[in-house]
Amino acid sequence: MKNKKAVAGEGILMIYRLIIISFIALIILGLAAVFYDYYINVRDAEAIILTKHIVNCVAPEGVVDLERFEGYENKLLDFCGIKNNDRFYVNVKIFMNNKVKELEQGDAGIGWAENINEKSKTKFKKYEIGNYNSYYPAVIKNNSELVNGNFSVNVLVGPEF
Amino acid sequence: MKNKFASILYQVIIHLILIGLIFGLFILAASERANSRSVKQQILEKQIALMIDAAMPGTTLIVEKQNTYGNVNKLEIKDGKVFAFVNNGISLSGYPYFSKYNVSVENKKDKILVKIR
Repeated sequence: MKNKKAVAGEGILMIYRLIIISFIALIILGLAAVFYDYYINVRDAEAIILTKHIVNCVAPEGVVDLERFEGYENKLLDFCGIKNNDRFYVNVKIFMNNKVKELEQGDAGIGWAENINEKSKTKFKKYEIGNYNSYYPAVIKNNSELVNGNFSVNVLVGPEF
Repeated sequence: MKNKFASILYQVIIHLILIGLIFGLFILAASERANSRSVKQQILEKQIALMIDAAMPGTTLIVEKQNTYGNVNKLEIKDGKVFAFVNNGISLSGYPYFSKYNVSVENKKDKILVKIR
């Protein structure tokens, strides 16, 4: 009888030991996962490629025809046929004769993680956004009148997760 | 006395086997991380997604199956994402591309063709 109790006690002790060992192994796995986790951020490259597409779309052959954008002031990415555009913010400012016309699409607050980075001086590389600003001279076509002007493109690319 | 010694030895052996099994499993999982397959897969998916984004219609990208990044078993284009299967691994999340053109994948014997139309 005494022997049976002892065997049961041993069994319970063994389960307890196994739980502790599993816990230690899990910590080892967790540390390995943290040390070997490596993220490659290509959002800046995406921002440059997207800028190229936007420039070709806004000013084909260097001419910005303002009439083409009627009703698409806040749907620039849709106008240019860019797919999967949830994580992008694009802003185009067209300057001519002291007037400015603005075209955009997306969430301008996409850079929230970048702001945290700047404030905390810590780089969360995985959440770092892609950003590209550029400025181009162009001929602006407004009501069949051609004037010299220029336009700026600002592209932000947010995380894909 | 002899019987007790045998019983203790039996318990210790079972303990050691179980501990070995648990640690073996976790070491295997850790080595999977360390062998950098996921990094190679990540590089391949992102490179292909960027090339698709930058490509003009009519472009065909050729991905050799025996690649610097390992053995590319399969390449999939699904829901606007590129999935690369390297060294018999699986790809769960993929990487999104934004090209407005139609993208298709064609499997050949020793290479994979990504066609942008």
